[in-house]
Amino acid sequence: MTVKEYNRAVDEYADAVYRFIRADLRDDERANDIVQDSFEKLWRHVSEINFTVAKSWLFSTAYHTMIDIIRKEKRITGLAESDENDLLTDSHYTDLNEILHNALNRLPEQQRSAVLLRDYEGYSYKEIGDITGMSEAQVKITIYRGRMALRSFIGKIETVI
Amino acid sequence: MKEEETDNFSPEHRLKPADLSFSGKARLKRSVSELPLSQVEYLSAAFLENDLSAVEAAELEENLKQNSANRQIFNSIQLTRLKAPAVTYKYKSSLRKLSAGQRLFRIAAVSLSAAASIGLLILFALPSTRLISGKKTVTEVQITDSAPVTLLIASNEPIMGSSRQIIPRPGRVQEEVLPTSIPTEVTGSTEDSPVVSVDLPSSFAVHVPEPGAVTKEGSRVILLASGIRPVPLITNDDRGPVRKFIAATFREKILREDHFTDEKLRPYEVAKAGVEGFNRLFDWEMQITENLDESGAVSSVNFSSTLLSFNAPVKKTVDRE
Repeated sequence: MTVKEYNRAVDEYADAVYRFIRADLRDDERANDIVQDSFEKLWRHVSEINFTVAKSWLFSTAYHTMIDIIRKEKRITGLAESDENDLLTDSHYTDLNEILHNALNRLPEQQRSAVLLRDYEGYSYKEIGDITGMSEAQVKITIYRGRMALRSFIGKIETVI
Repeated sequence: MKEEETDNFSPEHRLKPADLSFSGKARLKRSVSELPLSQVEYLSAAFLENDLSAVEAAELEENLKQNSANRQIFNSIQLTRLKAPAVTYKYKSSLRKLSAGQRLFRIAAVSLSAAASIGLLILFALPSTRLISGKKTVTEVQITDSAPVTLLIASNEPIMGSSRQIIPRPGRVQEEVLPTSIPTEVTGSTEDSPVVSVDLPSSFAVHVPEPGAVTKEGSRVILLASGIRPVPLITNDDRGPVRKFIAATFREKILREDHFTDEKLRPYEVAKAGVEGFNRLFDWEMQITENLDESGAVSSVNFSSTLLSFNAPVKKTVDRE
């Protein structure tokens, strides 16, 4: 990849990587750090990586950095399991997309990332598999389970409201 | 057993299946409407992922037509597609890398902008000295009658280096420079100073030191005015509403002052805003700061960047308008 292509990657993919990580972590600052870190790594290997794979490379790098962070935090703080009641008692929702994004946070990490990559970026099962390290079949079933969980949350919210 | 080995057997040694048929086939067959709930869910999710073949999609559609409960399930699953928020990454400029040519351009641009900033400072920060040198208070006086004015000054010298006649008009002030020296005539004297009588226009502005102040020449000045009535100082702000609006807008939008006014913009403020604008635009790290002396006046301006750093002294101006 040339410097020109690298800068093109910044223009074309930085937003998407940032959106993906931000939605997953729900933390602007850490999402910003991960994007910076991912592009820094890309820059260090700029000559070795072809522009055609730069996008999935960036997503994969960002995803694994994020997973590392999440694991470290879980080890340190022992994050409490998400409480479904929190979601149900939140009554300030203004639209379905907001409900879905809140519900997304209750999904296991793999389901969350797979659904986000599918919906935000329209990645194929294979591409999601390349990014997350899952097989195509695993990706397919993971997304399916994620959707069922989201649907279940929507149903509960509708019942409460 | 391998296939090749079985092929060696003659047909008579092979088992022949009985000519039987399963009579309960009809019972095993299912219609589209009988799809189990889990499969409706699976197909609905697959439909959302665009994973269904045309036949599968048609069968699902038929099932949904016949079963309104399944239709609800299908609809609720279709709602689970997330929409990406309209969020953009705002630090892209910090990620971009510059080529050699761009770096060269950047260095040149930094140098030029620094030079431009300093040029601006010099251009605006060093206005020509218009009044008598020395730190003086501008006092406006008005002659209330046509009688000669009696001034007590330190020596028999012209009263002022220059003066301006002021013709008050609503909303603005028109200025006219008078002769720099006004003839004086000694009419008497006190213990150490002559008393000078001067014929002055009926309305004028005179720039005098504060009573008791020491002039540049070192002589003590005392003003005793007969028939002079001090009036409030008229500020020399002849800016129109447009210029005031521009100043206020600049302070609000560019300088981002919390309590902005339409006060005249100082060259330093303009230069500083320019430098900060360049920093934001090109991710540069230039800095411009003003150094004040004991009296609070700007004594020098310091500019620093990764390439260039210098301190420019600023001449003190007499005029404190």
